[in-house]
Amino acid sequence: MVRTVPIVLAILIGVAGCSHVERQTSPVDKAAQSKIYIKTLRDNHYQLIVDRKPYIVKGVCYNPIPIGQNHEYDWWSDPGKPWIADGKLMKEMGINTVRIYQPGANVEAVRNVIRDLYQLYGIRTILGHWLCFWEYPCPFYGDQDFQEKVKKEVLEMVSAYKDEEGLLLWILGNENNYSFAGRVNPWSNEEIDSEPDPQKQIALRAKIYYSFVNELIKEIKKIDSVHPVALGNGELVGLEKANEYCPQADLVACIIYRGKSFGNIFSNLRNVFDRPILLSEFGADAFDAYKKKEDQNMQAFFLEAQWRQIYENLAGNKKGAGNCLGGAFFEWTDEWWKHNEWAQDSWSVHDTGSNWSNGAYYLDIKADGNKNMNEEWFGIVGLSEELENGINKRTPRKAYYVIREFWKNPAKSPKPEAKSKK
Amino acid sequence: MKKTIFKIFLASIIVFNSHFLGRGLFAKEDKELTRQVIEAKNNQEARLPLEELRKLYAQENKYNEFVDFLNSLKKQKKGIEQAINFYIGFTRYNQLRYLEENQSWDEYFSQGNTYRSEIDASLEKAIDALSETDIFSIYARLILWKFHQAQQDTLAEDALNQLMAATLACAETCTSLLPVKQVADELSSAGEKSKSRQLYKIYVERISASDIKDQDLKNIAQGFYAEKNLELAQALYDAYLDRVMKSTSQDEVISDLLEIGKAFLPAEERTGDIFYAEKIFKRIEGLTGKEVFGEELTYARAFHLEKAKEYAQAKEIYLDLSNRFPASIHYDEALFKAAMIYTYVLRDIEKGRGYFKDLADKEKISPAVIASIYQLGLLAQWQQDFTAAKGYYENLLDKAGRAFGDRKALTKIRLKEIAEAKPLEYNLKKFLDVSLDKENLIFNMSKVELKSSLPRLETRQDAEVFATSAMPASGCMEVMVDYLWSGNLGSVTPSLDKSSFAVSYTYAGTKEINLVVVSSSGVVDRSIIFLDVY
Repeated sequence: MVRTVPIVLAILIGVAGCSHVERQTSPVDKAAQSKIYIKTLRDNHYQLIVDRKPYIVKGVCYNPIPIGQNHEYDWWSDPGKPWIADGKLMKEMGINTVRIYQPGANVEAVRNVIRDLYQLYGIRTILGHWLCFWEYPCPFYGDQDFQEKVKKEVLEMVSAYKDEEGLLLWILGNENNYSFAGRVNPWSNEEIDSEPDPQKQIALRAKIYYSFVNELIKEIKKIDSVHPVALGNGELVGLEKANEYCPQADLVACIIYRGKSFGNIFSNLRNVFDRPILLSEFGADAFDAYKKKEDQNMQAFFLEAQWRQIYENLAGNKKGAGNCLGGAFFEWTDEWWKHNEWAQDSWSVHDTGSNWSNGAYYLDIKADGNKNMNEEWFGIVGLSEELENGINKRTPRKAYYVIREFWKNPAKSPKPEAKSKK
Repeated sequence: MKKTIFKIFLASIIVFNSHFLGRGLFAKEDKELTRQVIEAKNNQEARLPLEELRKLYAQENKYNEFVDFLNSLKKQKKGIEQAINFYIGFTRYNQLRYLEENQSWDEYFSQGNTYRSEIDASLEKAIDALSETDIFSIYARLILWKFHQAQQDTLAEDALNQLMAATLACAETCTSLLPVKQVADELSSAGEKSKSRQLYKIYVERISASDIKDQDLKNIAQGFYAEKNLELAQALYDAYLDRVMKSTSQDEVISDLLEIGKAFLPAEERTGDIFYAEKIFKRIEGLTGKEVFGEELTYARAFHLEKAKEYAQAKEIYLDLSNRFPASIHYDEALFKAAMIYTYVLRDIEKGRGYFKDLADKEKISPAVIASIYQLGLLAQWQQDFTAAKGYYENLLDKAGRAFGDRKALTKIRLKEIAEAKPLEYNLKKFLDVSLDKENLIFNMSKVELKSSLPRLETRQDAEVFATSAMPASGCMEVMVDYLWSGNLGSVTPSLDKSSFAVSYTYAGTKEINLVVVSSSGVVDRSIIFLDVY
C-alpha cells in the first residue's frame, strides 16, 4: 500500500518507480510450466487453471523490509533470505501465492526468490509493474517517449521471468487509475489541457492510459503466451473505459479497502468490464487507533470477513458472481518505515500514528481525526528486533491462524447455493 | 398416561429453562412463560411467550442457553416448530451482533461460522414451511435480510427483494398491518428509503381507507411524530390533509397546515424536517398566498432554509420578509443575507451590491449595516477600485464608533493592504476569485460541505466549524488538500491543513465564513456559511 501523494513521489522513484531490469543471458532454468489460463465455465463463471487444475489464489502481498530499513532496501539480496523462513510459515498457513509489486533490479536475485518459494513450498509468484506511476514529476502517460520507456521496462521484466516455473501471472499498474481525476500524480498533455470540461479530461486520461496498457498487454502476449496479464486498478474506477480501450486484459486485479466487505464489486464488474477479478490488495491493520494499542482480533475480524466474501464469489457458487479468482491480502510482514518515511530514525520504531482515515474499518474510527489506518501494522506477521537466522523474528498474528482455519475448511462458511428455493 | 408424560416433559423443560436462566428454579415469570409455550397449539400461540422468554435470556446474554432450550423444546413439542426455528435463527443473529459489538472474539472466531449456518438454516426452514404472508415467515425474511446486509454479502440484495415481495403480499392480505410497519421501520432505519416509503404508503392507505375518523388519523400521525418516526408521520399527515381539504373549511385547513408545518421546523429540542415543513408551507401559499405567514414564521422559514443551504429559496423569503415587514427586528439581517447570497452564491454582484447599499445608507447602525459597508469595500477592492474601497472602509470606521470590533479589525487590515499597495489577503482573494469570476462557474459549492455545530450562538460561545470535501476516489493514496479559510473568523487563523476549527465571537451579528479547498491540481470547490451571533 502506498499513500500520501504527492509527498512520496520523489522518494519512491527508486523502488516503486522505473527501476531497470537487466537482461540476463544465462541459460533459463527449468521452465516446464504448463499454460496458465482462465477457463469460462458454462454459467459464465471464471476459474483460474494451473497445471490443468482449478487454482484459488490464496495470496499475500510480499515486501519483507526489515526493521531499520526503508523501501529502498534490496531484500532480494538479503543474505538472511527472509523468503525461506516466510515461505515455510506461509505454506503452513495455506498461502499458495505471493504478490510482488515490482521485481528488484537484480534479475538473478529475483529469480532465486521465485524459485525458492516455488521449489521449497509450492508458492507461486505474481509479478507486477508500477508502470512508472511514481516517476517524478509525474507519469506522462500521454507522452510517446514515456510510453516507450515504460514498455521497454515491462518487456524486459517479462523476458527475464516468463520462463520461471513459479510465475503465476502479471499485473500491470496498481492504483494508477486514480490519476485520471487529476488529484493523484496528475499528468496531462496538450489534448487534455485544451479540454475545458473536467469530466472530459478524466475520460481522455482514461482512454490514453487504458489504450497504452492494452498495447503493453499485446506486446507481452507476443513473447509470453503462458501467463495471464491483469490490469491493476483501484476499485472499479474508470473500468467502463477499460472495457472500451483495454480488451486485451485477461483479468482485473483490484485494490480495495472497504472494511469487512467488497460490497457489490463482483456483480458490478460483470456490468462494467466483464473479466475475472483478483483482489490483489485488501486487508486491515492490527492497531486500534482509538484505544491506541495493538488489536490482532480486529485485523482477524476484517480479514476473515473479506475471505468469506471472496469464497462466496468464486466459480461454482451459484449465488455469487462467480468471477473471483481469489485474493492477495496486504500484507505479510509489518513495514516499520512507512509512517514517517522521511525520518531514518523512525524506521526502527514501530510507529502507531496514522495518516489516513477509512470509515469502513469502523472498530477504531473514533480515533483522533478519524485517522484509523495504521500503515505500519498491516502485516499478519509481526516483526521484532530480535534476530532469528539473520532476520527479524516473525510472530504470526491472530489473523494468521484464523485465516489458516478458514482455508482449511472453507466449506464451513455459509453455502449460498443452499439458499431459499422461494 | 399421556397426561403424566406431558407433566414430566413440562417439568423437565421448566427446570431446564430456570436452571439456565439462573433466576431460581421456579422463577414465576419463566415458569409461566414456559408453560404457555408448552401449551401453545400452534406457532402463533407460542409467539408471545417465546418472545418474552427471548428477552429474558437476552437480558443476561444467555444466547446459547436459549438456543439449547429451543432445541430441547423442538425435540418434544410438535406444532410450533417454525416458531422455534425462527427464534433459533433470530437468537443466533443477535448473538453474532453481541459478540462483534462486545468484541468477544474467541467465541466469534470459533463459533461464528456455525452460528451463521444456523441463522441461514433455521430461518430458511421457517420460510419454507410457512405461507409467504405468515408473520413468522415475514420476520424470518426480515432477519435473514438484516443478517446478509450486516455481512454485506452477495445474498443481501436477493434477501431484500424477497422480503419486499412477502411484505407487499402481506400488506394486501394480512389482517394485522403490524409486520408491514415493522418491516418499513427497519428498512427506513437501514436507509432503504424508497422501499420504506412504498410500504408506509400502503400502510397509510389502508389506515386511511378504513372508517377511521379524521382526528384519529391525525392523532396517529402525531403519535409517530412524537416517536420521531418522521417519515411515517409525514405520510399520515399527508393522508389526513388530503381528507380534510375535501371536507373542512379553508380556514381550518390552513390552521391545520400551519400547525403541522411549524411542528416540522427544526428547533433546539428536535431535528425537524425543513423540507417537509416547506412542502406544507407551499401548500398554504397555494391556497391563500404568503400573507398568512407572520413575521417570525417568515423569518424562521428563511433561516432554516439558509441553514439547510437552500440559499436561493432562503434569499426569496428573506426578501419577502424585508418587503412585508420593514420594521422587523430581522430586517437588516434578512437584507444582508439576501445580499450575501446574491453576491457569493448566485454570483450576481450588482444585485448584491444594491442591497448592501440599501443597508449602508441606513441611518440606524446595526451589525448588518456595518457588515454591508465592509462588503461594499471588499467588492470594490477586489475590482481594484481602491478609491471607492478606501471610502467605504473609512466610512465604516467612522460609523462603527467604539463597537463592531471584529469588523473594524478586518477593515483596518484591508485599509493597510490598500495603503501599502498590497494584494488582498491570499485566502480571501482566492475565495472572491473563485466565487465571482465568470470563468469559475464550475465551482458551485457542490463538492465542499461546510457546517457549523451550532446554527446560532451567543457571544463568546464556542462553535465548531468543519468542512468535508467530496474528492474523487484515491484508494489508500491520500490526496493532500489545503483549506483556505477566510471571512470573519473571530480571533482564530486556521492553518491550511485544518478542516475544522473552533470559533467564538465577541460581537453580535452575522459572520460569514468562507472556504476554498485546493488540491495539488487546483481548486476543488468553495463554500460559504453564515454564523449568527446574538
